[in-house]
Amino acid sequence: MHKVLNVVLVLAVLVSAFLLYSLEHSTRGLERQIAELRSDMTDERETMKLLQAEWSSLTRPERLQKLAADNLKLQPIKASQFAAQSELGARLPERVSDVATEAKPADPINDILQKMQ
Amino acid sequence: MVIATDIAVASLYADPRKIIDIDEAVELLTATMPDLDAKTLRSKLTQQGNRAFVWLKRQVSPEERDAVYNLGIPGVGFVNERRRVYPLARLASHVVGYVDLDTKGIAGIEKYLDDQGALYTASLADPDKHVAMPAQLSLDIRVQHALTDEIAAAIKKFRARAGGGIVLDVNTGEVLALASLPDFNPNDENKRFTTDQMNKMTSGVFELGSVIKAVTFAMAFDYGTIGLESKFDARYPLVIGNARISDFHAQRRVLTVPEVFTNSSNIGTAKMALEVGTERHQEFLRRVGLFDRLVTEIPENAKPLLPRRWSRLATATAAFGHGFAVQPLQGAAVVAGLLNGGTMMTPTFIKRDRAEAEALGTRIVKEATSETMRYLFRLNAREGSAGKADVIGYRVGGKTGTAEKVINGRYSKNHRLASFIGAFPMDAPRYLVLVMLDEPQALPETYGFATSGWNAVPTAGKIIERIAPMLGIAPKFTPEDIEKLAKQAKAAKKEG
Repeated sequence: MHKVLNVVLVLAVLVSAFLLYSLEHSTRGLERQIAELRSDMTDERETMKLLQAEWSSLTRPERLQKLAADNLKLQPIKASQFAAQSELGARLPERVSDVATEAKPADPINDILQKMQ
Repeated sequence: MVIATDIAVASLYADPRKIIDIDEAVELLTATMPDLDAKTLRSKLTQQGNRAFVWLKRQVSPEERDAVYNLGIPGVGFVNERRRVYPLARLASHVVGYVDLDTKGIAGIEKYLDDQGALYTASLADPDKHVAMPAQLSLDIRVQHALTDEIAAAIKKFRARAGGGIVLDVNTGEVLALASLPDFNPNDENKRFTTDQMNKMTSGVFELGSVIKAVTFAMAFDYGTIGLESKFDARYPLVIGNARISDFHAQRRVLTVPEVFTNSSNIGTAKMALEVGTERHQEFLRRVGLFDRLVTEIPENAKPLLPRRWSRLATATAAFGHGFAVQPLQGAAVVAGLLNGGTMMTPTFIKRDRAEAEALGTRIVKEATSETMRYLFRLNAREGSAGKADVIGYRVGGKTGTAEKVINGRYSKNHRLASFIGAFPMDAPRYLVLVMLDEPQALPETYGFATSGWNAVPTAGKIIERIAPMLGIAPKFTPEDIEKLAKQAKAAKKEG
């Protein structure tokens, strides 16, 4: 009777030791993963900051103004160019054909992009 | 837009004792980083051979860092450092300020936030928990650029020594833009800036001249000593003791109150202040805060310069801004208070909403007084000295000022400070624009004039034309305006 009990207990100890070990092993693996992810997140955050700063620097009004002046034929909006919705009728051309619908609208930005390629 | 941020940078160091082959290391490093000088690098590694730590290059880019790692030279490594960068560079530099090498704020908003502990806690806080949010400023970068750009153009055109400008939301006291030129780049390593580069809008006091007349008018209206129909005799110069007060554009006739304003009559304004009385004049100036230093988030601020003794003469001259110097920002804040319905708000550089602002505001004049002031400002832009700022459609109102600068203790006729304060749209003012030019020169096209109406005012007009669409102000046209526009278009056609 005792023998059987001992055998069972020994087995139980072995099984639980194995379980404990494998649990600890997987926990360590997870911990390592957490640490890796944390450091990845920190890296990503740093990259985000860097990219945001770069975006700010690239979209500086001063730079955009120079680019627009060099490459586009746009001008600042004049007050007289605004119209209320109710006045639209008076401002539109009478017949659609008056506007050159055939001509492809110029897209200077696209032209620049194609030149770069 | 990110105005200031910390980025991680790596700095390259070496432990010369651990480098096995110095020649090879020098060769490899100079090949990856061409800006390193082989000679100095070699001497660093050989002559300081007994030291354990030598900086080779501070603040290396991430690409270079990876390249150096791939070289695999023993005894060479990186230390991570933080560096504060300002992606917008010069833009709004006077508001933003800068930090020292240990990223401690020492000027502008940077100092304010640092004193509040915001930056410090942000650097300590666990980034995963997002405890510290970035501070949001009230600046509108587009407006800031338009303002800086136009003022820089005006300085160049009128060969002025310096200049500055402010755009203020009159209902919340938020500063949308503040420029002071010459400015500086906060990214510069060497921060030994000259006094020319200081923030003239807050850390300097200037005689805004006739712009201050607006305060005198508001005072007289508020005490009820004048109405719009009152008249002032401006036929002869005003003599007090042995001082004479005369007008720049002398009319030599009896002027009504609106005429005193649009002709910017010193005599009329001085008489107006004398009627109110020295005691009440001081009381009113104290009420609008012109006796105290204006304190905002920007730590650089100057105390107003006032007459030492308030005699009758002091009252008369202070009425038209003589012997009375304030921070331009303070002048702008007071005028905003006079135009927005009578509530004075301390300007701020941090975002706030209208309810918050109204809770902070103090009433300085009656609603009715504010309305009269709006009428006078608009009238002055339509018919008076501020005509060149009247961008058709945006209902601009404004007051000009040309002050003689004090050179060697005397007022100089040839050194002028031209200023303009205006607001738009005048039917319900939203934004205030201040422009100041230091010693603008007369040009052939200004017919030899160097007064505000010929330089600061048209500059303000250009600024308003650029920023009004950005700020969502819809233009409105009266039949009169449309006629004017048609005339302008015709004139443009003739020229072109």
